[in-house]
Amino acid sequence: MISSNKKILIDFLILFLFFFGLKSNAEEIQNSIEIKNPIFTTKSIDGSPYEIKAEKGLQRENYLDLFVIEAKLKSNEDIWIYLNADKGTFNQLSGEILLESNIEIYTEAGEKIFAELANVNTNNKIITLKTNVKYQDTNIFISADESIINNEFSNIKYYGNVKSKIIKK
Amino acid sequence: MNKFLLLLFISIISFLKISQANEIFIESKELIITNNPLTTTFIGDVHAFDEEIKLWSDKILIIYTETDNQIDAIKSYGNTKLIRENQEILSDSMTYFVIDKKIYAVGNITLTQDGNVMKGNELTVDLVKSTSIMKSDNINKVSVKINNNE
Repeated sequence: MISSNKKILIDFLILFLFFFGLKSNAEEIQNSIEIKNPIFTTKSIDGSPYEIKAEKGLQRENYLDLFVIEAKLKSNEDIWIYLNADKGTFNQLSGEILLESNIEIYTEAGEKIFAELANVNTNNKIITLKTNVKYQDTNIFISADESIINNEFSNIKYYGNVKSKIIKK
Repeated sequence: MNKFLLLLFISIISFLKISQANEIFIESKELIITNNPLTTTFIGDVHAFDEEIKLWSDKILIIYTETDNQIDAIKSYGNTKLIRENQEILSDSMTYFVIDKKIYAVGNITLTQDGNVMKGNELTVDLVKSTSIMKSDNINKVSVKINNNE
């Protein structure tokens, strides 16, 4: 009898959680606003411009879920850093962009980086890349598990299983 | 037609060999690259290899030419081991001059060649002339153990 009551209680609990979850999701969808071809042109704390474009955006309070993203940041040395990704989330308060899937970062100087996950802080311009990180320019090819790009490509660190091929001349 | 295919095959092989001779492969746990000045530092279980040498070390630093950013030298620090042809060199640190094709090793050197073992403190190897010069400090003389088992 006790075990039967317990089973009923657990069933109720599961049902409650299921409906509560559905309700939360429904509210979330209701509260989000879909934006077609959103473009954000703004400035970071140090005044350098950055632009984020996407095919579609879903606004949820201060977060913006973006799909098919093209972004660019201007470095202090007036070099544009371009970022492309399949999807991502832009935190409008912190200025952070989380990018996912088919990430490509490149500069006007011919440097290219690919990864599956990235966190871009538009204020301090630190880019953290994770999963299947690949870098290439005219002289070097690098693959690694993780990478941190500081000071607008003037300092790049790679971690975990680093493999490189360098052209000697 | 067959001659053409053979020529094409030889050309591809030659091209691949030239391409490979022009490259160096380096693996490590960590890599730090800085610009202005350009430095490339590999840290942790570093293994570098090209068509001339195989090198292992705790840390490897790539030195570039100032004019056109070519690899000038590869410096290794800590637990360095280098293998080339019939030579194996163990030392504390080593510099592989890529353009000049020379190797300079310092500290606790053990050079093994064809079963013969030489110990010293300073070693210079000319990869073009195939010459090796071993030096030692005043306290420890160069020691040589010759293997006469043919």
